[in-house]
Amino acid sequence: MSENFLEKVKFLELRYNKFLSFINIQEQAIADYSNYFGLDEEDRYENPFYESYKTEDLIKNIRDNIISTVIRIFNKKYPNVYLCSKDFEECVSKDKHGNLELEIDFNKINLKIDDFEKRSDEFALKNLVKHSIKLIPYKLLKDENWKYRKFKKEEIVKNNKLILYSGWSYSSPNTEHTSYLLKLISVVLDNAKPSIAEENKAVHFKYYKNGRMDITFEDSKKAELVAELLEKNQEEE
Amino acid sequence: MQTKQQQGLKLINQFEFIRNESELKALSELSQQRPLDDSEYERMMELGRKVLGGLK
Repeated sequence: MSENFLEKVKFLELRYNKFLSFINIQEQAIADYSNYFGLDEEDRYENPFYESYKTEDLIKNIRDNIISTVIRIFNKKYPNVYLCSKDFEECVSKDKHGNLELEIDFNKINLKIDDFEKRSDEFALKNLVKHSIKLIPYKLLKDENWKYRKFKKEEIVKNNKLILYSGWSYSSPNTEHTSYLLKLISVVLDNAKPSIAEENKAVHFKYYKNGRMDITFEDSKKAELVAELLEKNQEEE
Repeated sequence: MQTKQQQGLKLINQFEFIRNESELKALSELSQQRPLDDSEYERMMELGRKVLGGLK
């Protein structure tokens, strides 16, 4: 794992552990007060230090924030890899019912990040293709019985153009998935790494009334290369 | 002070805006499933001008 992540996770760990130790401080104060004034367990609401649910809720929120911060730090370096908090669920301690508790295993987080970093290109390519395939015209993905079928690259390539379908979004062309396709194009044509690829700016767009979207390349070979990658990586629904 | 007539007109305008907005949303969701025909396309553009304004 790169030095960069290790340092940042260590920074988070040191601060978070201070919050965890606050629970001990509070418990100690509750016990001290009870001993001093001779209170029973039932009288705990008289105890001025008794606010345990609130403290737990606060630390739970901070725990969730820390997981999303780790994801954000990862995404800054690898913007095309999609992670969610569920990917890091194993790193949080659980009680016997499977509910998440407060402790975070930061060593496990390091291992996870290491793993994601090694496989970042694989994950990113999957993510880019998954979104780009949504631009394939729906008729090419369904057979006559409305079952899923795989499309062939000849169906979307026409000379130096890719014939795709974008549809409309509030009276302007829907650009929800185009960014992913542009990144995929730079992976194919400029040999960019999928995890950090940026949008290709050398292609030309044209939108039609019926939702069709044409992407024009410099020559037909480039269009074929992109279509080939999409054809090869499509997955059954 | 607004008269009752003005208040009523304001309510009608608000209602029309919400209605137009949801029709526009429905049309753009429909366009994700199949190409729009000419009348649907023109309706969408008209609603776009009404709801979003601008030079579209």
